[in-house]
Amino acid sequence: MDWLFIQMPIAGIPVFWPGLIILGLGVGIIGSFFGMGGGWMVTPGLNILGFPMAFAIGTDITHMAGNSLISTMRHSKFGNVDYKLGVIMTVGTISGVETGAQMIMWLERIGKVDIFVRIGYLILLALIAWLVFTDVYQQRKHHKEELTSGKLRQAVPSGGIQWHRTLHKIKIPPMVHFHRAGIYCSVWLPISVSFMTGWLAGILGIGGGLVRMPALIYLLGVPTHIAVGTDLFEVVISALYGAGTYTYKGRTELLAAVIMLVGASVGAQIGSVATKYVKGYGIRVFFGLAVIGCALSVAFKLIASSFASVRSLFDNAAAILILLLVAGLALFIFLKFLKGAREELALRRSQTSPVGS
Amino acid sequence: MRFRVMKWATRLGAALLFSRALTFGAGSPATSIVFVADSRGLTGWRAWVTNLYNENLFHFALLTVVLIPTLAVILGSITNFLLARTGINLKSRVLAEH
Repeated sequence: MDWLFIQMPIAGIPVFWPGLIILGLGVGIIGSFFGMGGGWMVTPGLNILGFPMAFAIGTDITHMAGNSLISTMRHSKFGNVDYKLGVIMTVGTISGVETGAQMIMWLERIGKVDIFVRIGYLILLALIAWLVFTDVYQQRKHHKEELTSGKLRQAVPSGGIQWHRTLHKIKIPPMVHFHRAGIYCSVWLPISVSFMTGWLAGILGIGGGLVRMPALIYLLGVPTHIAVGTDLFEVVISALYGAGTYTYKGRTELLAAVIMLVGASVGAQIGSVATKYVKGYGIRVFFGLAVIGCALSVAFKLIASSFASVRSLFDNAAAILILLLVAGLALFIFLKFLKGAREELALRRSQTSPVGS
Repeated sequence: MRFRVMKWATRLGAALLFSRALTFGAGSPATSIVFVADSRGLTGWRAWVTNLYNENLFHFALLTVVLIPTLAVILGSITNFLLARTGINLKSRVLAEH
């Protein structure tokens, strides 16, 4: 079974290459569906495959650049990308990512990088999960109230978290209209939001989609589908920049990134097309569930590193959980894609076939 | 009220300044950690990639940022072509919702 393992020329370790392709496929599906690079899955996934943390982050970001580029190309054709917003946010993202990357190098030097990254992940994931489910709960409550009072004005859901309305009242010039996203706000709002999310991305070694996707929805007021596409465009830029800097620091295993990209190229198409068949709030609910699963796995890892007596138990539990999470979500999205595609093709066939035949 | 806002703004400013000072000030010593790949026993393109990594990280980084997007465009175009053959509409999305 030696042929199933490939020697990584830089990290100097043999790696199970079908595992890299499957990881790329799963992350490609999930990332392009939720609008993120998928660093929160890839970094632990690479660790499970035996990569040291230093190489895992760089390799992850490098693969993410290619994966998100494929997804952006697809989302762009659906009209899901607001390029103007994406380009403006790049300013904040790049400076934020660089600040975060410098900070992580310092932490690595004092030897606290693993624990810092895991605690950071955990706090962030808990906050995002809380935000998403509070929003969904508020939206459903509002929708029910409108239904019972007979005042339902629109078919699409509304009434969830509306922080963006308050933030849009900040009128610091210049003001900008983002036509595709349908928002009008101060240019400083997307710049400051992207700096904050970029900084977090640099620290945690992720593309930033996990933070930017909810930030785009809740802080900027971008519709879910546009948030997914625009976020992926942002991930391309920040991940490419991250790939350059991490590689220049010698932290990238290029071969692993290329192998993962093969799986991701298929996954990215499936995930992007699946967004055609799922409503915006549906995407948010499953995004929240994914975040909870990820938080649990990080918590297990944290317990394992803190208590030597239960290390192997919690390490294994974290690995199993993250694999189940990636497999479960990817399968769910794939089934949605299949169901939607089948219905679309059936509808098209019925429209084109002659009446009575 | 104004005093309280000022106090919090000062704290926030100090925290930001402190974190930035830490990050920028800490950059250079960490970069002195050097990874060396073992190219002994490697042949062909693997030996070339490993040697490039060991000899010139800038060129290796340049290769990475050119190779990954190029491969992504090629692989993306191939999978896009295959998906289009299934007959799914790949040019528009009907659902629109906040």
